[in-house]
Amino acid sequence: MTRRRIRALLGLLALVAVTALAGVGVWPALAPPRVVSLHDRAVAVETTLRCPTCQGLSIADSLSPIAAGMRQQVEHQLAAGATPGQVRSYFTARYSDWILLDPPRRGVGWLVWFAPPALLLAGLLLVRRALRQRARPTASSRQNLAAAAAFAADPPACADLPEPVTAGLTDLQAARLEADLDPAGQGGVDDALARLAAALYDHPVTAAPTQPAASDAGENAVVDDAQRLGSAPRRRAARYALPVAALLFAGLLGATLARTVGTRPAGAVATGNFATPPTPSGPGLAALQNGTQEHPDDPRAWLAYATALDQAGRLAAAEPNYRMALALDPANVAAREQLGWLLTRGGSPTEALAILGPLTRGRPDDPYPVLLVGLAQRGANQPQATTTLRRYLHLAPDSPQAPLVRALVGTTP
Amino acid sequence: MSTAADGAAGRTASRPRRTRRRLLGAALLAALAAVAAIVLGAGFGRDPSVVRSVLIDRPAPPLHGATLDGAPLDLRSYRGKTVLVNVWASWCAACRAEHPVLAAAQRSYASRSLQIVGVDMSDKPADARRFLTEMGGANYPSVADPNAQIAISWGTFGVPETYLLDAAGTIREKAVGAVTTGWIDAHVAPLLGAP
Repeated sequence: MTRRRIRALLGLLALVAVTALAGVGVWPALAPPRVVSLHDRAVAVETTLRCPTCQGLSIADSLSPIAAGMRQQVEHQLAAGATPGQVRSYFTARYSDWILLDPPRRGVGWLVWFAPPALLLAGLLLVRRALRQRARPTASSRQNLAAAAAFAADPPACADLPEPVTAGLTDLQAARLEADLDPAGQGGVDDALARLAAALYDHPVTAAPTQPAASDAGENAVVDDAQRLGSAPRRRAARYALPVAALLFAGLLGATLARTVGTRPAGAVATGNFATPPTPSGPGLAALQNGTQEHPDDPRAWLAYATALDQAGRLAAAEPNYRMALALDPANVAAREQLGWLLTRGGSPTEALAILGPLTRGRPDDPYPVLLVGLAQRGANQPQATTTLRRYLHLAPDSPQAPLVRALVGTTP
Repeated sequence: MSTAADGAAGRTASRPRRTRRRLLGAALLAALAAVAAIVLGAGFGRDPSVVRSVLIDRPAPPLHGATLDGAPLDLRSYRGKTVLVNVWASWCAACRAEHPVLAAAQRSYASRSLQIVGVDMSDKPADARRFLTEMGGANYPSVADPNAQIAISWGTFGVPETYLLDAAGTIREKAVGAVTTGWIDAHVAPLLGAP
């Protein structure tokens, strides 16, 4: 395999690697989720709509009241059966295309989509040409020029010389004729000689078959030698720089993408780090309350409402909702844990112990219920609280709550 | 193929070809630079947050609901009057500056068929009533819009924003930010009826 073919192959390999690894990183985020809830569909539409009061944020991430109202409108329309396109049209009819985070694929919008890849391609072509031209001076090194002059003085007689070499020879003859007529044409001779040297560099002429060309074989050997010796190390480095850099880029990109994006659940936002827990504001609580009224048999609706009230600090209001969720689904671990913790905080530790009991019996090595039971026992001033809390520290010594628990128990870390 | 004339032609053709290629490259670069300069220059001068409303010269969207006093209100009942729909909220600082301007306009131009209708966006009724009391009362009704649904259906970007409707119910103008007496004189006065 010639060096040229190896370089071309390496370049192609680099291109394939970049594309493949980029795809590997993005693929998990693009896979459609198996179970699509209304909330997931709404979030998918919300991430494409711009918040009107913020710069560059989607309404999924914005905390402004307008964004909250838009989210409500999106969910309302999707629940009523509208398609994402129809929902977006509703907003573009009132806010213009500006409300979409992606520029529209219409009219001038196409320019925004096509210009970056087109310019990138143009840039790559320029780089390729620059690299080719940079290799030329080595072709015009003194040795190569001398070899070219020798070649021109006695060119081989075989008829199948490469076309650029023939053209170079012709140009050189013409230049020499002009220089004879006009001394200022000497620069043209040097140019022609350089072009002949370049032509020989690109299309090496092998030894001629005819016997009288033994000297030509010697001259061609000189040319070959000059090519090999004069230019090899720098040329090799320059040629391999681009494919190696591309492979390095592809490798790093693939590794980074796999680490940051590969672990996201399907359907999640592909990039960025928006981990905003929903802050239950007034409208949010009302919506959750409506949820319990619309689905009175769904323990998750009661649990969601109770959790929101709990986070908002309204423990008294949260308690009956937790009990409702637990009554509907006695096996619901989250409802049991949260109700138990609420009762402990609210001053009923003994009842909390009764509620939490089944959790520790069912899963004795799960640290969180152990912690809750320990804190409830401590609230009830039971002596076994210290033992239970020490057991929690044994099960989960590195948890965020561990230092606090150690302080409670009185052990040194 | 290898006559001197052809050779000469080959040589003399190459230099113009090279300079032509260089000129082409330079021209392309200059064109790109020019386009970039024009786009950037035009863009820097604009405020990215101000987008001209697409509802101008279109019929007004529906507006109906309960006012802060509990009475029902429908925008269609004001057809034939020049209407200013003002989106505001008690938590909005610029709305404090704007309220006296609107109250004065309602007082002066009520006889010339001006009707101001407020839309109280994302607000608690108690806070809104307290705001109005602080500002000395309101001489025009405001519809409660706790979830911003009315504001969104009107393409509102934020508060305060004001829409000017003519007697036929078409939106003629939109003010983003607090309304000033200058704006009212320039845009509202020409549409008003005879005293």
